[in-house]
Amino acid sequence: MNVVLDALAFSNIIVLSSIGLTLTYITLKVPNFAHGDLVTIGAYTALAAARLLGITPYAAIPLAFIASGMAALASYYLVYRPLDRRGAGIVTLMIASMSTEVILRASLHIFADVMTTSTKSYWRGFLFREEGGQLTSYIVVSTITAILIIISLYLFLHRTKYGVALRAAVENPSLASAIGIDVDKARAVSWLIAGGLAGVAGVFMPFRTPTDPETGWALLLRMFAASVLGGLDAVFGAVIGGYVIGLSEVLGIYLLSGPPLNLSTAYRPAIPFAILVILLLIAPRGLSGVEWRRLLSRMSRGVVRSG
Amino acid sequence: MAELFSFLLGLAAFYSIYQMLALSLNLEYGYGGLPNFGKVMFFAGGAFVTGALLTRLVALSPGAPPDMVWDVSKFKIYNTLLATRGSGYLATNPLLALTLFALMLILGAGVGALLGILASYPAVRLREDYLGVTLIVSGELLRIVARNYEPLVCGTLGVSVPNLFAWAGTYSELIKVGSMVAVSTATVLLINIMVNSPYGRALRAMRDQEAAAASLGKDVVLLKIKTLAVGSAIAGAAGSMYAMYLGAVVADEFTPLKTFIVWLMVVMGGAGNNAGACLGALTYIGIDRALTLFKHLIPLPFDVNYLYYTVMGVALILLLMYRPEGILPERPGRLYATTEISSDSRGGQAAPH
Amino acid sequence: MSLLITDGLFKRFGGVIALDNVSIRVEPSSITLLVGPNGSGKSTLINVISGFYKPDSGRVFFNNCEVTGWPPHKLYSAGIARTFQLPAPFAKMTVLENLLVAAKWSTGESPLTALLHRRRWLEEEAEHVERAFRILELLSLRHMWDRRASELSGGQLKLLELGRVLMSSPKLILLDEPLAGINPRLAEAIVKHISSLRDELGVAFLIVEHRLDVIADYADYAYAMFRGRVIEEGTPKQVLKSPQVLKAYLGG
Repeated sequence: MNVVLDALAFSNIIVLSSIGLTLTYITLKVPNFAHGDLVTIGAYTALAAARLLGITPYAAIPLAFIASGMAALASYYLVYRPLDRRGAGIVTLMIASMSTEVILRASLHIFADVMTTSTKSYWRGFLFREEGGQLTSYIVVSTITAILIIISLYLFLHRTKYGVALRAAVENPSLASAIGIDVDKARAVSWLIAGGLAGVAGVFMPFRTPTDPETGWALLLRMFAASVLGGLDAVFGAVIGGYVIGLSEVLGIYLLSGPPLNLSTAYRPAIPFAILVILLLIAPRGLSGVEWRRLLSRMSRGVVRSG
Repeated sequence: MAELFSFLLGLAAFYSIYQMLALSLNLEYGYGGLPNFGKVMFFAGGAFVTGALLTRLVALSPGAPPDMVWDVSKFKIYNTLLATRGSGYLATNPLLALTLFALMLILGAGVGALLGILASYPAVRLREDYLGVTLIVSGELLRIVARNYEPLVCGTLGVSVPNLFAWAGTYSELIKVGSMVAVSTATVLLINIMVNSPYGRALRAMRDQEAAAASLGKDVVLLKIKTLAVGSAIAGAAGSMYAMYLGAVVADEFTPLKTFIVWLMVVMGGAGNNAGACLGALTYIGIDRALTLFKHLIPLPFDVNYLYYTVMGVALILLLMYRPEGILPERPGRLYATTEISSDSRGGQAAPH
Repeated sequence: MSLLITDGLFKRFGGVIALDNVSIRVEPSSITLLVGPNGSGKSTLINVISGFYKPDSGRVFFNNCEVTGWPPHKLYSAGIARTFQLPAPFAKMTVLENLLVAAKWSTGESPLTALLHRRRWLEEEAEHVERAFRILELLSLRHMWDRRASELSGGQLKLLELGRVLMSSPKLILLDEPLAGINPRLAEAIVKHISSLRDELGVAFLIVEHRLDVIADYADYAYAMFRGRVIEEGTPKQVLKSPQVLKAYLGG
């Protein structure tokens, strides 16, 4: 039962972060390699708030949202928008995205080192258990937070006038600007929300595993797995993708590490990575992109031919 | 003086390795338009095969107990001892040592080429972004397997590799680095012939307009497979050389950051221009080595390498904005039949036949 | 015996039928026109014949050999070359290099042969360069030989496209709107040149073109397409006067 609860909590983190990854992918069609580091920024914001302000990490959720959201917004305005306006191609945007990733991760390392020396306490490999959070409470809080965020994001994007306009702007920019929607602002808001959600996910990370500046980067490829599984062009596909990836990783290694295989648990990340590679090779557009009808007709034709 | 000398040797060694990596990426991306975001995978392939085989091969020749070599739990403990003893044995047999050096390069290249051919499967099917993610993840899968599957390179502990140049005595380091420079220079010459040939022209045509290249008789699928095979073979050989230079292979060193560094070199120097890729490699490695040397003199409350990565990341983004063609931009291909052009008298109304 | 025969080609994209039972013939050493309003399936037909699309059903024969579903590069070596409606130059390469790419190389086009047979492809290169310069002369592009293709004007790009396909002495050339965006004097010259290639070298052309005033007099045969079907065929004059064709053009 503990394994299932742990899997649920882990999946909440993946879901919250991969929703944002998909949202930014839709705006510029570039995989944001720095998205994992936005999660780390959220975790460090919560740590700083807990240690310096003395509040519980949960109370730092809004702060983490703002910090990571601002970092995402800055990367949009300083990196992606200028390149996009210069007509940069997808490979150029990807190189810029990798550069941003390296800059953020290296900056987090510097931050962690500086804080460790200046406060004489460890800012690497930290856990929130001793900062006032408890294992069980975090599973409950992360689940409730994930559900609340998914519902409110859905209502915002589908039921409010601004949300509908935002979706139109990022999904079909030429049409949207023709009817007078400010595409640029809509994209900026998308990046802010995407970064903010990653920051919220980051707050829950140190409850579960020791967190350091590499944590988010290590999480990134799992987020990609979730986003690709759900379809990179479907925001809420990432919800399903996130739960499938999170559950299959935790439950999968639980099963594989037992008899008869007795595989080392260090193979854990190999599960989502293998899923991702296989997915990219057979159904790169994710579950929503599979042409089920055509697949079925091809399969039935195959049956007829062989029969 | 001795310090300067060893600094220059280290610089030359790392430059030789990264020059090969940068040139291989330039062949694939700069000339062929194939965005290989999994460069580290092919580099690791060459390093892993060298780490897995060289110590064992050398240990067997002077008659080490076979169970120490083949029993993983023992090899894990004794591989450094075996490597040291192997170096001693090879010190008396320079011919064998050099043969092994060449053999490992060829094996590394072979493994690289094989991985490259595997990577061409997604490369001919997926769009650039999906391909990029696929290759990054594949590289990470290889690293995770290598750090957990101990028979390969002894898992997280890593494996020691014997020194193949111990026979040269005090000149060992000099001759080792000299051989590396020679291999790297040979690669430069070979790649230069390739990119200035009909093959190089077909590659650039495919990069500029794939459909038009196909309509003009280029088998673009085959061209991509061959190019990834050649590029990855070079990266594999570089990986093998890296293992033999450092004398150890540790799986966890082969992270996507290595891929990023090679991209940085190529884009900064100038994609589609081999001189540019070399310049990019020299710039990056030069600063990197100097920082390693003077690290202890810089009073910072953090590792200066992180600052270096940050600065390099910012520099690359600025370059993409203000000089996307790199420091040395691409130039038109070399033309061999110059006599035909200078004799301006021909032509006229002759029909093309 | 016809050089090119298509036999009952069908091609659909989703719910749209782009080609509906299209059967045409192109005779050797002839100019065949393909006319019809936009969206009538002409470009789809060119793409199927040149191997860019695979037909859902139907067959293509070239030079007495079935070539249905062959990839573009294989069709090129068989002798079918094509140009694109929107010019598709190799932008970072020079005009001369653009032509050299299109030459039929016997060696040097793979990494290994580039290294091992260097002397042989260097000899070949001299021949190809000479031929390329003759073609550039013919198309009045000689003075531009060392410019990058990205520096060329729209009309010059059209000429470059034509020049490229001439490098390999093809038997059949498919031209997708070769005259679009070219000034009348140059258009006239190009058409004359096409007809001289037909007469002197026996090249066959299948041409999609809207500027019929310039080209109709030189063409030997014509097909009119509408909504994926061939609705009329015959001499260009017959086809252009056909009431059905007029109706199609007028938005019937």
